[in-house]
Amino acid sequence: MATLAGAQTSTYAGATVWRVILEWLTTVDHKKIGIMYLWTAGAFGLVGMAFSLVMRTELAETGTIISAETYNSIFTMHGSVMIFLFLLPIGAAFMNYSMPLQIGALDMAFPRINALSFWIFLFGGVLLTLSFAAEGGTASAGWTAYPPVTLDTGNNAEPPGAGMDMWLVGVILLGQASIFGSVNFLVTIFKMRAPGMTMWRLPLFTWTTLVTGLLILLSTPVLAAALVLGFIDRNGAGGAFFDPAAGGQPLLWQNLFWFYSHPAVYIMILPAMGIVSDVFGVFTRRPVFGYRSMVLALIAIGLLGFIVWAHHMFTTGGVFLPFFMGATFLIAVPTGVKMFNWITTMWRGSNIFPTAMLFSVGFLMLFLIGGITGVFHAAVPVDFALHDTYFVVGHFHYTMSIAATFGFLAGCYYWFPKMFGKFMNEGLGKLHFWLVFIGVNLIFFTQLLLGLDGMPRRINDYVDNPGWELMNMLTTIGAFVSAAGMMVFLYNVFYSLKWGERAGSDPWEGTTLEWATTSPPPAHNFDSLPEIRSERPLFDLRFGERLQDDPHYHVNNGHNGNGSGSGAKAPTASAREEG
Amino acid sequence: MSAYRRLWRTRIGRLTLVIGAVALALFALTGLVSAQVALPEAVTEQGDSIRTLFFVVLAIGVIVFVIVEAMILWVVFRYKRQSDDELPTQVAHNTTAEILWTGIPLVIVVVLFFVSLFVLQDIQAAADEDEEFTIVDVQGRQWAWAFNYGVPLGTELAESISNSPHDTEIHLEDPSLVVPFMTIKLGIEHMRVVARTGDVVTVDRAVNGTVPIRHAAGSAVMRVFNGTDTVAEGRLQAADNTPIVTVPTGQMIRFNIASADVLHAFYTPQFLTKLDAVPGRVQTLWVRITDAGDFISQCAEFCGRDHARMIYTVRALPQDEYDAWFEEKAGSAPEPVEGDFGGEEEVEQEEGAIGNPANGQNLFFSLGCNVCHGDQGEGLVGPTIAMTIVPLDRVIEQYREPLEAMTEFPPDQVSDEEIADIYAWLQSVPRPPEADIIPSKLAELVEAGG
Repeated sequence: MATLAGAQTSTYAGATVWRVILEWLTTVDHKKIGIMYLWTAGAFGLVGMAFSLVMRTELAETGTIISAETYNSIFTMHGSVMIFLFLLPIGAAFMNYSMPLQIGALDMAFPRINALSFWIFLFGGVLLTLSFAAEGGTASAGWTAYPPVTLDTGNNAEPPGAGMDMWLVGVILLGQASIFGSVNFLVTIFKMRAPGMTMWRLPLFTWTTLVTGLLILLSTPVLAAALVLGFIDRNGAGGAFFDPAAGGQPLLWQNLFWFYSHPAVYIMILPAMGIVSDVFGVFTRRPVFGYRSMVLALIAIGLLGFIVWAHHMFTTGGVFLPFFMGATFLIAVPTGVKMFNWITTMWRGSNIFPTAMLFSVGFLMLFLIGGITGVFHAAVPVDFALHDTYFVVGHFHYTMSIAATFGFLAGCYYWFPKMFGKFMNEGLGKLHFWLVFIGVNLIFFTQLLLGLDGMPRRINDYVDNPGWELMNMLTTIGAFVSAAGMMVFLYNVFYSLKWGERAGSDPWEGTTLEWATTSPPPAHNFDSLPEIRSERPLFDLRFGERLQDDPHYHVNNGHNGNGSGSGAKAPTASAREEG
Repeated sequence: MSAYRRLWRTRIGRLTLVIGAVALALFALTGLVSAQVALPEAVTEQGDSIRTLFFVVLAIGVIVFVIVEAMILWVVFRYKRQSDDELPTQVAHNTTAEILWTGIPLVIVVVLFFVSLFVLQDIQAAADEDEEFTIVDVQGRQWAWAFNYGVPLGTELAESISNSPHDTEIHLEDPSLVVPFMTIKLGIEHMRVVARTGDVVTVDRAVNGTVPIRHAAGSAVMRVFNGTDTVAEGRLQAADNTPIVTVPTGQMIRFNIASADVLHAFYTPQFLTKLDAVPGRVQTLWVRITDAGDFISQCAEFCGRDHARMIYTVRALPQDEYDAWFEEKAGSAPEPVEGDFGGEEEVEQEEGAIGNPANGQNLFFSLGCNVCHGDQGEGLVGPTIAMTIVPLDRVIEQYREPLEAMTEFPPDQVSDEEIADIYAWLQSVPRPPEADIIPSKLAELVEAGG
């Protein structure tokens, strides 16, 4: 009997494993898809980080360890993987997971397209990374892939091989996944909000999802066009689009590419801004200051993002400089508004600093440096000196890479209890924060200085100017310190999944609707919803009564928080579906 | 402080504090080094303006940074939750404050915009109409630079000067290896850079040890090829033979920047400016150098494998020294160039000093040269003539009284100038990668000193 029972159990366990795998492979649940995005993007992020360590090892001292070809492939894939396979999809991960919960929806508007979008992304990502196996190696022209160095023009000494085509096709697929995703986000926000969830009551993370979705939808097709033209140029047209010898125009690529890739910077940073806005709102117990101006600033950043693409091309000699300089300067204004609003949210707040909050404060500090160094690049004559040096490397890492990653890490610590029902370990979290915060500043502040001194980017070896070796060594040390921090994080994830402290449905005293359901939420998300009268329905529920005499405390429909929600139940999810 | 004392009690806390202390020390070190590593002193008038603007932006940036960073630290350390049921103020907006922190940054960036615009117009100005200036043609190519001097637009100079190709030695990996003599396909014009790093090199006779060759620039790998196998490989060192572009101080200099293949960027850190070399365009960069000296420069736009080796030196000499140098190189004093050629106009790409390659290409096909020599002069029935080592005058002789089995072309069929055009084109065509070299008796004769 015992043997039989054992056998049955193991068969049953085996079947369960297969059932679980099948369930994840076939799922259309936005939460499961979000978590798959998270794991996949996280894995690609580690790959991208490994590439950066190879680069930093090579550059620690003068002289070379790996060949120039290898180095060029590595920096190309570092950029490509980090942007297309880490920063963009990890934003999608949180938007997938949290946005439908925040607006009290059952799921995304098009769950199957949501799944399709994930699987296309995964396929494109695998294709992109597999290009290492292609004859002639992977793409090696930088993630910007400026022609004609990408083309076999007859003049190009070492035209890239099939890896370049795999790169182009991979990015086309990733773009397609983005477009599907963005349509889904937009329709979900416009059509699936719970009763009472007006546009002016959307949580700020949902607002960033909305603006991000619009940016993706409007810009990605332009990138797709450029990529298709590039593919045709390499496979048939003989350079007719981008090779001047064949009648093409190399700057055309740059215009098309940056018309996508500048908004893409905001596609990466806006979700992170949304996360830290929510985090500040929760851990200060204050409303995010200037909610409406936050939203307007967000929209302004999105709009301006479409008219500044040529500031990446100031030194090409093919740009009308005054216009793009002016537009670029203007972006400082709405980003400044957001910065002051965040700080004022903490001002006179009842602040606590769990790891999610630390990363959000870290985000402010890094983004501040990123924003200020951006002004140097906006001033065209100064950009003439600093363009394509390590100053620009430092600048864009401070903004869209490191600040964005800090926002996403804040999101990990903040939503982990919701996703898995357990807290991440706070001690390990704080160690993680300090290692990474110190590491990245060491990397990128020294890079700013190296850039000032004229060290060009994308070189595998450098002239031994005074101080350069020391600065490069410091940068390399910083890279390894932050990598160590990320290892602590990785350990924390697995540690907390197994041994993490159990978290209830609302472990942070959250303000938005994702905290109004169990952790993890059921497949249909909500059994019931609280009344929604402001952008903080759960805060109203918790403190509304205590604050009813506070003249500064508003809910948007003119009621004070008096009795809001305590007994009243919103229509259940199933009721809404029938309605 | 008590928070840190509490932190010290746990193992992870202690680790955190130690790491923090180490980080502070490293930042202090960074600060010390940054005294050495900073924006270089400008050696041009334009660079000086840019540098001034940089410090204006820096000053504003530092002020904003200090104020905002202080605000962040203030709110973080000052406002902490005192008890679990504490409820802070619920003030959600303040119109005055919001208008202020929208308006003040707006004013700052508008001012910065106009200041930058003013500097931009200043640094992009061309030489005055009656001012003498020097023209230097710059051509970036993978992975070297070629420089031509004193070639006013539309003028052909008997001789141009370039420092780009250099005599050097290739150090073979295995000195005992018997390596035949190498003929590198170089143009006759000493300023032409024809052999590229990594080019296949034909091999004729045996020598030992080091072999003198001329190469493009940089420290890229040069392969020695005997027709079937790579017999040697050497790394050319950059330090000794970076191309040098010599220019006068005091005068306005107009760099005409072009590219032969992919994107490059002309970047001298001490000029505090750069301009991309875009294939198919010629772009103009005006500078007036104020300080003499050697300025190490390098390509700043990624251009393929040896991008990092595309180093060159700008050598700025006082006017009298420059004139002496030029006279020695060119055999005559530099012709002063006057008048404004207009920085905006599109310029035909200079292809060396002789011939019109576009016309040459047309003639090459209309005369039917391609039938025997291949569409790119790579050799078919007839020998390889692309990038030949045979000088132009011998080539003209060959047209008039052919050696071997070639059709005779009398002057009424193709003029000397037209031959020069064809020659110019043939010196610029890229050879198909798989093509074998078809030997030419004429080339052998030339090489043997005939």
